Amino acid sequence: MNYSKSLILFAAAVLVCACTKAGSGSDFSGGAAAKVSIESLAGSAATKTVLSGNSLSWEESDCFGLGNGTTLYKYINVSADSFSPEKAVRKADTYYTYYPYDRILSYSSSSFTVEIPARQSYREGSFGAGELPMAGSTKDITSIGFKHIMCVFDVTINTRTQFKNIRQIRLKSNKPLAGTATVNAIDCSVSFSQETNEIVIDTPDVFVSPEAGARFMIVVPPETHTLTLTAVSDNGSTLTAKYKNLPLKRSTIYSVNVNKDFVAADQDATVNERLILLNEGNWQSNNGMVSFIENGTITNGWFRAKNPGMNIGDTPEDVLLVRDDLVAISVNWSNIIQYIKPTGEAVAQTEDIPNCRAMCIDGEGYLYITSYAHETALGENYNHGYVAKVDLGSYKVVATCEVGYEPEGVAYYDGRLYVANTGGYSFSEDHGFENSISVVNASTMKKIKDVGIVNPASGEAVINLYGEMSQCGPFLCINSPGNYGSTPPATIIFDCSDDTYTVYDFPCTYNTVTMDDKFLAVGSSFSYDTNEYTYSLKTIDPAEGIVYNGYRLPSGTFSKDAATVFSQMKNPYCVYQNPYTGHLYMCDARSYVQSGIVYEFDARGDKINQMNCYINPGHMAALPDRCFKNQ
Amino acid sequence: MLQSVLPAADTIEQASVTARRNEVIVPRQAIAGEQLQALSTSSVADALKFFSGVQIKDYGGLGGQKTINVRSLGTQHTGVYIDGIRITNCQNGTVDLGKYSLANMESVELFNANKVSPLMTASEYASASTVYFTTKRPEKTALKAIVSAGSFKTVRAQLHGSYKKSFFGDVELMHSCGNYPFSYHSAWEDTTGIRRNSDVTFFRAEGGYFNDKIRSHIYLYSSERGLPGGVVRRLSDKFGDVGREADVNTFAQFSYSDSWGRHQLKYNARYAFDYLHANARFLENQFVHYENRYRQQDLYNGLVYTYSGPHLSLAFSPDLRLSDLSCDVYGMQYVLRTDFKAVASASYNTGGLKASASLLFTDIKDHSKMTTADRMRRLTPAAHLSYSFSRLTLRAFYKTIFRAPTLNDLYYTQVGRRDLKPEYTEQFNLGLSYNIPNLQLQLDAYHNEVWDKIVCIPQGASYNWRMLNYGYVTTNGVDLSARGRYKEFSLLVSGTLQDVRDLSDPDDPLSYRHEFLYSPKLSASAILTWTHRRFTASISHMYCSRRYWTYVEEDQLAAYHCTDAKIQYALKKYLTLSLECNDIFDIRYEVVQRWPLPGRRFALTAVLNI
Repeated sequence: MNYSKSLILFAAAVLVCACTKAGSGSDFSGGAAAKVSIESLAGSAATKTVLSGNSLSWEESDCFGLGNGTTLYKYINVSADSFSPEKAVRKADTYYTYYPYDRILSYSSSSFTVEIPARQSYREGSFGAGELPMAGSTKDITSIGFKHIMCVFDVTINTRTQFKNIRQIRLKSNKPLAGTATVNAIDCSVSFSQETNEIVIDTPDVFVSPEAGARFMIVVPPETHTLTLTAVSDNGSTLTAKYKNLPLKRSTIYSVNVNKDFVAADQDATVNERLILLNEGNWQSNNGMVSFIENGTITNGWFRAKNPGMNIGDTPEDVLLVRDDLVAISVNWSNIIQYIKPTGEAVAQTEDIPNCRAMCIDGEGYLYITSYAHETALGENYNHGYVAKVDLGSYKVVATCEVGYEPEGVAYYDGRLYVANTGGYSFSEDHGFENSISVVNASTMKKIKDVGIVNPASGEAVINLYGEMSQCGPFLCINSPGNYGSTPPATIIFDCSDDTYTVYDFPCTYNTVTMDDKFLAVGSSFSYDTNEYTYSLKTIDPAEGIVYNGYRLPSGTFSKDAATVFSQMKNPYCVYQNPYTGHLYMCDARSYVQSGIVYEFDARGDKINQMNCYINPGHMAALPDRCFKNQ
Repeated sequence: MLQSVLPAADTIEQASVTARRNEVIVPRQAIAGEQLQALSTSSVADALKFFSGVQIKDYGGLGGQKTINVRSLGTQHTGVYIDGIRITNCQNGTVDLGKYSLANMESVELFNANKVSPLMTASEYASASTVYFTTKRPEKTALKAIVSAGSFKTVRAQLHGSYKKSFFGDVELMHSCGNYPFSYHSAWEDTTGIRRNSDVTFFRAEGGYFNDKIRSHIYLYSSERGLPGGVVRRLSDKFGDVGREADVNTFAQFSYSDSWGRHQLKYNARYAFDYLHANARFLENQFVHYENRYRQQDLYNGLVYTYSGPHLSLAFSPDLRLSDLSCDVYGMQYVLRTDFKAVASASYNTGGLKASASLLFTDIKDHSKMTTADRMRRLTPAAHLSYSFSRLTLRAFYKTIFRAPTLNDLYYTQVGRRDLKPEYTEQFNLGLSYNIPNLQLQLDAYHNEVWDKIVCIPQGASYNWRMLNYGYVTTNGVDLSARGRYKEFSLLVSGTLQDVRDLSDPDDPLSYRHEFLYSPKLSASAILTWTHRRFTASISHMYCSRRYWTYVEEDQLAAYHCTDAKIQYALKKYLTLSLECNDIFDIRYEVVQRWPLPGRRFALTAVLNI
C-alpha cells in the first residue's frame, strides 16, 4: 500500500499547492491561485472529504477531484458508489482536472472505464484503485487541445540512498511536446518552451527517498520521443534519466521507474560507495590488512597492492579521513600512524606515538590520537595514558596531554577533546577501572576536567569506557563493558554542549551514527542464563532520549534485512554507516581466524551485498566522491 | 621387543624386560642411549620432534617456549613424566620442554594414550598421550666434565659425578646471547633483522639416589631469559614489546616399589615449587606493562597395588595432588586445587591375546577467597587389546580423557571464566607391530576427536579476551615408524599422514571441515647413525608439509626441510670431541607464524671423563 499512500500524498501536494493562497479569497482561476484550501492533510491518508465554503478537507483514501475555480464539482472516491460524470465535466472557465478527466463509463471499487470525448479517439482502459493516474491542466479544457493529450508519461522516482526534496522537473524531447498547450503534471507554475521542446514544472518540495518515491505524470503527444528527464533537488543536485526512442502511444500510460541518486551540483554529494576497511588480523601475527570496498566489490590486501614491499603491520585499530586527500590509520601493535592517499598510496608515517589507539580531527589541520603508553615523543613520561596532537603538515607530534589510564575513544567538539578512559587493560599497573571522560582544551592541550560517570539509577560508577565511540553533533555514544563480572555493561550518551549524560543499561560495543542523527549500536554481553555471548542491535535517538530495538530507518520503519542478518552473525565486529550515502555495513568476524564477512545494506535497509574480507574486520571509513574528483 | 633393537640400549633392556611384553600393546616410540646422545639437539623437544605424530610448537631460539602436540590433540593433552611422576603446571597446564636438557636423560619415550604396564599410578592414565623421560642411573663411580661453545654466543658447562650404582649429581650452566638473524621476503615485505631479547641463561643442579626399590631425585632449575614478541612491522627499534622472565623450578621426588609373590606395590611422592617472575616494565615497552610473580606448589602422593595372576592382573591406584597458585595479578587471589584420582584396571593375558581396561575417577575442587568453579567429578575409560602371532602383533585401543581447565583458564582477571567445562578427547587406534632382529616396524591408524576445546577469543577488540569452550576437531591419521640396524648403521624413520578437520561450526562454510590450523598433512623424519670405532656420526632430517595458520587461503606456512648433523670422536679414552650443526641449509623455518627460528648454528663440545 506504499504506493497508494504516496499517491494520496501526491494528490494532497497538488491541492496544497493549488491552494497556497487559500486564505486570500482570490480567484481560483489563472493557474496557481485557488479559493479552496485543504486542511488536515498532514501526511496521513485521509478518509473523507468535506467541502465547506472555501475550506476543503480530504479524508478519503484514493480520491481525486474536479473543480473550476469556485466550486469543486466532484470528487471521486473509488470506493464510494455514486458519481455522475456529466455533472462533473463542463466547459467553463478554468478547470482543474485530474486524469481521467472525462467520461467515466463505468467503475467499480477497483477499476473504472473512461471515455475520452470530443475529437479524441475512443479509449478504454482499466485502472486499479491503487494506481489512479493523474494529470492536470492550467488552461481551459477546450484549449488544451485534446488531440495532443494522448499519452501520459508516468515517472516514479526513487533515490538509491538519499533523502531529497524535488524542486523542479524538466522534460525535454526531440519532438514537439504539446503544441500550444501547456501541460502540467501536478500543479503550480508550468512553463513550456517550444524552441527547446522542454516542459519545466516547478513543484513544491516533493520528498523522495529510497522508501518514499515521488510520481509525476506528464501528458505528452503520442509520438516516438527521445526524452530527457531532469529532477532538481532543493540543494541544487540533479537527477537525470534519458529515454531513447520511446514509442508513446495514444491513449496509453507509459510508466518508467527511476532509481538513482541525485548527482552533486555541490561537491559533497556522493553516489559511489567507497570505503576503507581495516582487518585487525591476529595479534602479533603482523597480518593486519586494509581492504577497499567500491560499489559492492571488495579488494582485500589493498594497501600492500598499492604499496609494493609494504604491509600495514600488526593490529590496525582506527581509520579516519583527515583531509580530502589524506587518510590516517592507527596501527596499534606496530606503533605507527600510517598516512595514505584516498587511492591507497602511502604518504608518510608517524612513529612517535607508541600503543596508539583511536583518532579524531579538529578541522584545523591537527590529528589527535589516544595512547595507552606513558612515554611521549616530546620527552614526557606520564603515569597515565595520553592524547597526542599531530600537525598534519609535518606529521610530527606537537603537544600531548595526560589523561586517564588506557584512554580509548576520542572526539572533538567546540575546541575541546573528549577522551574515554578505560583503566582496564594493564592488570599489573596497580589501578582499577576508570569511570571518567577527560575534557581537554584542544588548542592548549591542557586538561580542563574529568567528568566522572555515575549511573543515576544505581549510584554506581560506570566503568571501563572501552570500545568504539561515535559522535553525532554534540552527542557521543560511549560503551562501558563493565568489569566482565559483577558490574554490568552500559551505554553512555554524553552531551558535549553541557557535559551531561544519560546512562542506559545495555552495551554499545560497536556503534555508528545514522543518516538521521541517531546512533546504531551493537552490544555484546555475556548471558549467564544461556552461557553464551548475546548481541543486541539498538537505535538510539540521543536528542529525544529514545531507544528502539533494531535498526530504525529514517522513515520510521525498521530494517528487516538488518535484523535477519544480525541474528545470523556469529561474532559481530563492526557496524558502520556511510555518512555520505546512508549505506550500512555490518561485519562478522566469525571464528576470528578466518575471513570475516561484510554485509552491505542500502539506505532502505535492504541487504544488497555480502563480501568476504580478511580476519577481524573492525574499523571502517567512507570516502566521499570529492576525494576522487581529480583522479 | 622394542628395546632389543635400540642401539646400545642394554641398560634399559634389562630394566624393561618385565614391561616389554605388555608395551607392544600400545604404540610406543623411544630414543635412548647412544642414539639419543648422538642427536644434535639441545633440549628434549628436539628429540621428540623425530617421533611420528608429534609436532613441537617452538617460539624460536633457545629461550623460546617449546611444547609438544601429539596427534593434533593439543598441547595440554600430553602428560610429561620424569621417572614416572608427572610434571604439572596448574597455572597454564603446559610444560615447556625447552627447560629440560637431554644431557642427563637415558631415554625419551612417547606412548599414545597411556603406557600399559603394571604399577601405574592413577595420574599416568590422566592424559591423552604420555611422554616419559628416564633419568640416567648411575653405573659406576665416575666424574665427567663437559664444555661447549656454539653460535650466537652460546656457552655451556656441565659436571656430572656418580658413585657406584647409587648416587649421581649433576650441575650445568648455560648462557646464550641469542641475537640471531632472521628475514622475511614477500611481495609486501622485505624485512631483515636481528632477533633481539632472545637470550637465555640457566643453571641446573640435580642429584639422585637409587637402589633396587627406591628411586629418588632432587632437581633445581633456574633461568633468566628474554621473551621476544612476534616479528611485526615497526619503523625502528625505538619501542618494542620487551618482556623478560626469570624462573625457578624445583622438585624432590621419591619412588618406592616392592613385590611379594604375586603382589606388587609402589609409592610415589613429589613436591615441586615453581616460581615465575614475568616482567614487562621496560621503558622501551610502551605496550602492556606488567610485572607479576607467580608461585606454585605441587604436593603429590600416589599409591598403586597390583595383583598379577597367571592370566589376570588387577591394579588399583589412588592418588592425591594438592596444587596451589599465588600471584600478584590484579584482581586474582590465592587458589588451592585438590585433585584426587583413582584408577582401577584389569588386564588379561592368554596365548597371544592381551586385553587391558581401566576406569579412571577424577575429582577436582578449587578453594579460594574468590568464587571458585564447581567441583568436577568425572569417570573416564580406556581399553587396549592386542593379539600376537609370531613376530606380528595387531593392536587396538580406545580412550576417553579430558583436561581440566587450568587455574588461568578459570580465574585469570577478566579473561578467566568459572564455568568452563573440561576439554574432552576421544581416541581410537588400530595398528600393528612387526619385529624381527634388527628391524622393527609400527603402523597405526587412528581417529581422534576433541570437543569443548578451551580457547581464548577476543571479545570486543584486541585487548579484550575471554576463555570459552569452543571447538570440535577430528583427526584421522596414520603413524609409521621403523627402526633398523645394519652393521655399524642404525636408522630411525617415522612419518605421519594426517587429516585434521575443524567441525566446530556446521553453519559456516568458510571454516567447517577446513584443515585445522598448524596441522601438516605430512610430516616425516629420519635419523641415521653410524658408529665406527671411536667415531660416531649422526645425520637427521625432517620434513613438514605446509600448514594453515588461519583459515584464509593465503595464510599458509611453507613446507620445510631441516637437516641436522653431529659427529663425535673419542680422541683419547678420557676425551671426546663433538661438532654439531643444526639447520645445515639455513632454512630458518617458522613453526609459529612470525616467530622465526634461528637457522644454521654450530656447537663444539668437549667431554672429559675423569
